[in-house]
Amino acid sequence: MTKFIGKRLINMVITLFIASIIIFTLTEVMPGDVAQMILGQYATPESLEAVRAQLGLDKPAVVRYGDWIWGVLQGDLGTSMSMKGVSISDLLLRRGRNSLFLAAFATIFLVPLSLVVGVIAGLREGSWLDHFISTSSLVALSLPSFISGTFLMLIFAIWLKIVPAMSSIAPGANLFKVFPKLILPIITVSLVLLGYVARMVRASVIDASHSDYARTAVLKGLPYHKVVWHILRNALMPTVTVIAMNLGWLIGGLVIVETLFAYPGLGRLVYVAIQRQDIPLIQASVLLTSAVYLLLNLASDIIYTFLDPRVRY
Amino acid sequence: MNELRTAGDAILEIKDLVVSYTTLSGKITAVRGVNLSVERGTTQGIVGESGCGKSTLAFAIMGYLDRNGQIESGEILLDGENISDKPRKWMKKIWGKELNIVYQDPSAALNPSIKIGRQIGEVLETHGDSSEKEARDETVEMLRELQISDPEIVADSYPHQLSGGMRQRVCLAMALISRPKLMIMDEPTTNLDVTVEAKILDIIKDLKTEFNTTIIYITHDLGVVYEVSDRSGVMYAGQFVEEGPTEDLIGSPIHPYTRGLLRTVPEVSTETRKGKLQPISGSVVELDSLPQGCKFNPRCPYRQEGCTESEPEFQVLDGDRHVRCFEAEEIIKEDYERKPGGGERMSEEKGGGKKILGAENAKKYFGEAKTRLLSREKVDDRVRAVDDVSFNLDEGNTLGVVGESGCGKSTLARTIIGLEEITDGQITLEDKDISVPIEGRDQEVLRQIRIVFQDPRATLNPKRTIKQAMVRPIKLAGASHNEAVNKAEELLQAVDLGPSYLDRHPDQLSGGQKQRVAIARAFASQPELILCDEPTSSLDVSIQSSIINLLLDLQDDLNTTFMYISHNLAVVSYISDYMAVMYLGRLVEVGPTEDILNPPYHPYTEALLSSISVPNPEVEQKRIRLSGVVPSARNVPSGCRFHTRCPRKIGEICETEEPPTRIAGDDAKHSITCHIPVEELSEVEPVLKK
Ligand SMILES: Nc1ncnc2c1ncn2[C@@H]1O[C@H](COP(=O)(O)OP(=O)(O)O)[C@@H](O)[C@H]1O
Ligand code: SF4
Ligand code: SF4
Ligand SMILES: [Mg+2]
Repeated sequence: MTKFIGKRLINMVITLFIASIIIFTLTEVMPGDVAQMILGQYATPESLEAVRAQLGLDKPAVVRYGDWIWGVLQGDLGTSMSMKGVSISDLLLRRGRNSLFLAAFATIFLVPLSLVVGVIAGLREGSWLDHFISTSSLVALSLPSFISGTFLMLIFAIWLKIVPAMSSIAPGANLFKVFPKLILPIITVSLVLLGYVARMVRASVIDASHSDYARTAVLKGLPYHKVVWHILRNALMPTVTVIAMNLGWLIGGLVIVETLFAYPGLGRLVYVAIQRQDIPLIQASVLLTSAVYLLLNLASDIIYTFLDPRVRY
Repeated sequence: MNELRTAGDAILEIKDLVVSYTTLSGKITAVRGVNLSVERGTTQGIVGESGCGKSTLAFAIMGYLDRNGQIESGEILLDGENISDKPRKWMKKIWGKELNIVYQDPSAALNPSIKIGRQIGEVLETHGDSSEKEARDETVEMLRELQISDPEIVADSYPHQLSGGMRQRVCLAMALISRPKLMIMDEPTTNLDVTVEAKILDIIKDLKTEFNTTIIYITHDLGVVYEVSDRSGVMYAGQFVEEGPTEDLIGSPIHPYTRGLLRTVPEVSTETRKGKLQPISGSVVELDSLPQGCKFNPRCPYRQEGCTESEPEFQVLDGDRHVRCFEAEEIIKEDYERKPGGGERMSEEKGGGKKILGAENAKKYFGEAKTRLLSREKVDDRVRAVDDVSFNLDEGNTLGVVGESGCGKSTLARTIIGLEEITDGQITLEDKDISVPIEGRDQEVLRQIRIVFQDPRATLNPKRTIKQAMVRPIKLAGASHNEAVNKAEELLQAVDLGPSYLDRHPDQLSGGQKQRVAIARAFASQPELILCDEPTSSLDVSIQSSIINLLLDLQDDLNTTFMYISHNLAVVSYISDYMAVMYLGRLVEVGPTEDILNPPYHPYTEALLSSISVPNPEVEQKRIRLSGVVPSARNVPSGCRFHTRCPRKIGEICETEEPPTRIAGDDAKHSITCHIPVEELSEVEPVLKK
């Protein structure tokens, strides 16, 4: 098992390294000129040169990549270009904390709810409850976040006025204190996944309850809750992976939701960074996102091996 | 109906049971009036081809039909109490306690993520007041009773860690642990090797004496039913057509369908085949389009006018037998001839001896030998699926290959046709070296060798019509498109499929029809050699016999050479001129079929022969049982590979030295690889005696 985890960690480092090259190359070929962005349209060629030299942009790409990676390895992600002189590490840390908070609450809200809903629908296959759950999860899953977010905002914040519409919060604010502001983003970002995971769970519960071993359990005369246990042991295994994989998707969802609700998280930071062509910031935040994504994947594999006796490393 | 037999001490009585399924296209009656009376402590066999309602009957007794199934009328009395209309809640009390079922696929029947011990133990905890500890002890005890050598370890295992035979024993243990009144077994040994099947059947036979359990044993295999059951019934189209003491039913069948079934299966006999198999004409009736009158009449050779008008009753004959046939009184007078041998099949002397296929020291290993990084130790744990196999096969002959699963039979065929790259040695076709994978072979070689798999879906692309599938290989032999279409039509005709099939897609055909197309397609390129890997194993016996006849006819006409792989010794011995017995990648005995079936035997051949179930009361069979399963080909035993299981092992020499291959008897073509001298091997009694 340790060997397996070790192997996977090494793999992860290699993947990250490759990701860093891709990220660097992409930002390299992105249209637009940073010096121009900083100095504005009417800058003289000389001042542009000067800024480029100051930023190190005149050096060859390989050298700049090396500098960047060297910095990253030492924990120095450089400074933001658009937000003059702000340390990227600090920025990521602060915004990351906010996003993590949002993602964590979304997960806490999403996972149990989708499991319960999916299991109920699966065990009651064909009932009106199942139809209701299946249909609404299909709706949830097919609505893009910016649409469902807008609707939620309209209904709950603007008409009913039970929650605030905007989620902008001061840096360093106690997130628990401003929690009402987070409710809409949490629900919005969870909605798609909720639908998706619930449907997955439902499908695998149905699969398992039609299996021979479920029939064996029934015909052994086991009480209902034990039969359900026999079913869930197997049905929930693939779900674990699906959930963990999709938490990676959550990161993508955050960009949209944070932007929509003006929530100061990592997602909005990426959005802003791209809008302002703040290359060091883009590079750092995308790299961080990749790392988080890979870690989630690893976690899902490890959990899966613990659950399924057939997979052993 | 009152005059039907009632068992003296009946534990189960079924009266006029009708079961139907609601489907999109209407209601189908799958069980149409079944009467049965089973005596306590006996085994009742139920035989029939697929779709005749065996499993529906089983699950109706269990009170657990599929959701769309319902009991329309009739009664099921368990110990005198009608259980056919009891609610779930009531049934729950007897499920797992008084009424149990074991079904076909033991790997699906066990929960993959719960340990064996737990799965068995919970039965006791649910139905008795056993504590977890007591349940565990009893479980281990039960596993031991079923001859599982390390019951503690097995109890702590997950299903995937056990072999198929072991899993089925676990299922039996699970069903037996509560000492049920009635146990239903639905094809429990169908996918197991004969050696494993024989041992499980032994256990099942012992159950009766040891636990006084009543068993309903369902199977499509007449040999098996003959082996285990006291009384048997034959089902057709949802009814029993014949029922009676097994001895009588198998020894002197009355109903035309029972007779047909018995004649249609090849039987291992020490003589070479005499006549053709006699397939039952037509195919099993569809339940949604049953014929008027006797349901068997479209296929019945005894049919009279009245048979198409009204349905015969289930009547008592000879005191203890039931038959559903108008002509029963007449038929019973007629002497029943087991194998009437419909004409000589072919001249006994075969082809001019031109060598078609040759294998010389052919090896196929999977994986790679490694050197450990730290200790520099060499580890060779390659899977030796085929390990040093040599044989020759002449034109127009059939070589049958037998052996338990995992012995390398399929790999050998796949290596010959080039689907696997040969590791070492040589394969020749008409003395031309063809030891290259399929991509490296020229068109001519591709045309010359074809293969038929067990599952026709492996060869037939579902998106292509039969015409498209057939035309391609014909063009390989150099035909124009129009010629190819004509030829395709001709070939389909040869496998008894009309030209209307050309435009169909594979999923519009039944399993037997697909296999026919696969065979027609194999012949399409006019190959010299056809490799058949279990081509009939998943088909019903009546379809199997027509396919075997078809292969033999085509061989007669075209002088095609066959290599025929099957775990079914009866089929192989029937179809083959030569046989090869394979064990763990080696051929341990090769020779003319007649020599293989008579002493001298290789100890493995002898054990295989004594494991099969022969549905013939006139045949006496020696009883030899092999312990354990085929060892892993990753780590083959030293010396003779068979020594870990050999019942005739003569001592250390078997463990240390590779046995020699000796010519056996006067025929130079017969060879046996064993340390025991041929004279001694010749001294044993034949396994099968009339
Ligand atoms: N592609 C493969 N990779 C690894 N092992 C294989 C492969 N194909 C077959 N084997 C192994 O080779 C042995 C012989 O298998 P097979 O040819 O299928 O035997 P049989 O036809 O008698 O069932 C088995 O141990 C099987 O697991
Ligand atoms: S009743 Fe007639 S058709 Fe039916 S099995 Fe008897 S002889 Fe054949
Ligand atoms: S060599 Fe020995 S172990 Fe092998 S088959 Fe012969 S007697 Fe048995
Ligand atoms: Mg095989």
